[in-house]
Amino acid sequence: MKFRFFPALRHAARMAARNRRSYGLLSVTVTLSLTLLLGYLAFSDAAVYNRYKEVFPQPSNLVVVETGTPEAENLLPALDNMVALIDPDARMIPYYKCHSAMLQYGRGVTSVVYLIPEGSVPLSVCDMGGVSHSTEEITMAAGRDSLTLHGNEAVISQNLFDVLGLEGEFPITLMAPLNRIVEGGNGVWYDMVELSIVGICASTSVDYPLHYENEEYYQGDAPFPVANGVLITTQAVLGQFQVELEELAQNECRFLCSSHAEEIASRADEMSTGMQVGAPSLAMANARKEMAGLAESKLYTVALLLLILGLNLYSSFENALSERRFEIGVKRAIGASALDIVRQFLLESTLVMLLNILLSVVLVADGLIVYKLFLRLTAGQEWVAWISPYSVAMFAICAVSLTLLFSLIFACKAASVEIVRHLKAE
Amino acid sequence: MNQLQIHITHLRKAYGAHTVLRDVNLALDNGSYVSIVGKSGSGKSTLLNILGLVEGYDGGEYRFNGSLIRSGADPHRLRLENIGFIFQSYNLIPSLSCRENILMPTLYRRRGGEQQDFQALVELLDIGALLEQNVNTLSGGEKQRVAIARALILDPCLILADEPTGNLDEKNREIILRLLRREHEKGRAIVLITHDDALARQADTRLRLQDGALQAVEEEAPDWPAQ
Repeated sequence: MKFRFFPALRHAARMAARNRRSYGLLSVTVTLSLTLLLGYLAFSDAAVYNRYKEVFPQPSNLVVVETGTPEAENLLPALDNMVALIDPDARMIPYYKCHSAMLQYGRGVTSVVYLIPEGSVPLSVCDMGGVSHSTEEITMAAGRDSLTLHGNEAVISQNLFDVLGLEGEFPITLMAPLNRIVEGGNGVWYDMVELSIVGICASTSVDYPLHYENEEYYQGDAPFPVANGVLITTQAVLGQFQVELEELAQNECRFLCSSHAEEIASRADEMSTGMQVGAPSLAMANARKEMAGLAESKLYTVALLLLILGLNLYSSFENALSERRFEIGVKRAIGASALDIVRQFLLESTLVMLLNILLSVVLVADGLIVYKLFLRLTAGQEWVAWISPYSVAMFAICAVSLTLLFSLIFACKAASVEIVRHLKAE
Repeated sequence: MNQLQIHITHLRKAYGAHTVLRDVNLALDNGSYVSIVGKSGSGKSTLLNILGLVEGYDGGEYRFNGSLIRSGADPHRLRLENIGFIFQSYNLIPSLSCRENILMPTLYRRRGGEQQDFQALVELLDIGALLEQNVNTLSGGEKQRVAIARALILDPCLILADEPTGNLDEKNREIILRLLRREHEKGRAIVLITHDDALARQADTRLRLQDGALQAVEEEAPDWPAQ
């Protein structure tokens, strides 16, 4: 006989609804346990993520070395040697802080920040008053076809795009370190700014066109020591830092791009406490380590919760079944097969479990939103609700396993009910 | 409606050391109307359960339309498509409405299987007003009529009635007996278990279950109630 699925599903849904009292008691246990489990996974993941959230979007091949102190300046040759030994292909990005008056440039670009190569001629810009020193013609090579930027949008040169190892379709999120002067202070600070890279600009006069050959950059026939890059973004970005572009000066830090960023950062850190080293990859490694440690404790917690929930489920289903033996006896007496009973109770329990899983997901999602809003309102803090794929997989496996296992047990026990005995009992 | 041929020979059934049925022989076809009487505990319900394929047996042979029913087997399809059970205590599912109880067997039939016209059945049994009610709200007579509708919905060739009027008043008793007679005239075989001799006289063949075996009571013309 061909199994008529939809009539059977309708009947199972109807019977589950009619027996909502016994299923309701079971559901309280299941929903509570699954909500606790998912909530634990989500909040513990989010706690780690929020500690490292600025790190993840950053290029993993970037190393930042503060070179502003005399001690650090003395260590530069050693640093260069170390970098060359570990990764001969590592490239330096010299970075200049910008004291930027918000200047108009060219067509539709409201302001310009340049990363320019060391030793280059200072960039000439056109100010808003129309008094120009000189102008640059920027043409787009990829992505957006016009240099019109808004908000945190930015355009970078092909050199920089390659060196940072970016890939994918535009817009691409880039956490870029931009530094600023603290008013009245002596320090140099750099903050991570989230930029949305919308295109690649063709080489400009300050972004010397280079070709890479024999493990060297060349401009024409002359070898060029570093890969240079151009970053163009808007006033809105610099506006966060309340800086004014007056002149370009060399920064007190170096940015290295290397596929061995983590190793370079570790070695540089060991060289001297006077030289501050930072690498997104190091922070990412710490984040991964912390998450791995968390994964182990999650496993134990999940196992314990599953054991408790499993015992509860078994007794809950047993209670639910004891109230249904008469019904099963009647159905078998009128011609239902054992398989018909298995199907009915399998569908019923699966529907109930799926509903509970959905409810627990909704409850946890609401909890995350409420917590996020609470932190925003009380502490002005932007808290990201995040759950790792590992946790999602763990929850899904637990939920599906529980559903299948107990649905099958419930269904098979229902099918083994003796017909005559339970008709007489009623 | 399917054809019916039942042959039971030397049937035996025991519960532990207590033998309920020793040597039961019975033959039924579409024209049969059999009543079985006997004392309480004589094994009437056991025999009906075995006939209705809801209980196994320990010895002898039971053939249903030529097929040997093996003890321990679960011939649910034969039960579903050929047998309508009417119980003394109705055995309606309390969480379902009357309509849902009546249509319950259709959930398990194969696509294209036989089914009586639902509306005609409802009118015949005069239960139209009860369809959406929960069965717990019905009187004994109403419940039994709903149970009979459920038993008839798949157009069975055999009706097994275990004390169908045991809990009913005289009026409902007459209604049920008329219904059974009408169904018999349509060609259904009926086996009626009762301890009431007056009811047993309605059948064509009257048997007594005594000492684990069936004995004929007497062959008399059926005593139909006045129209």
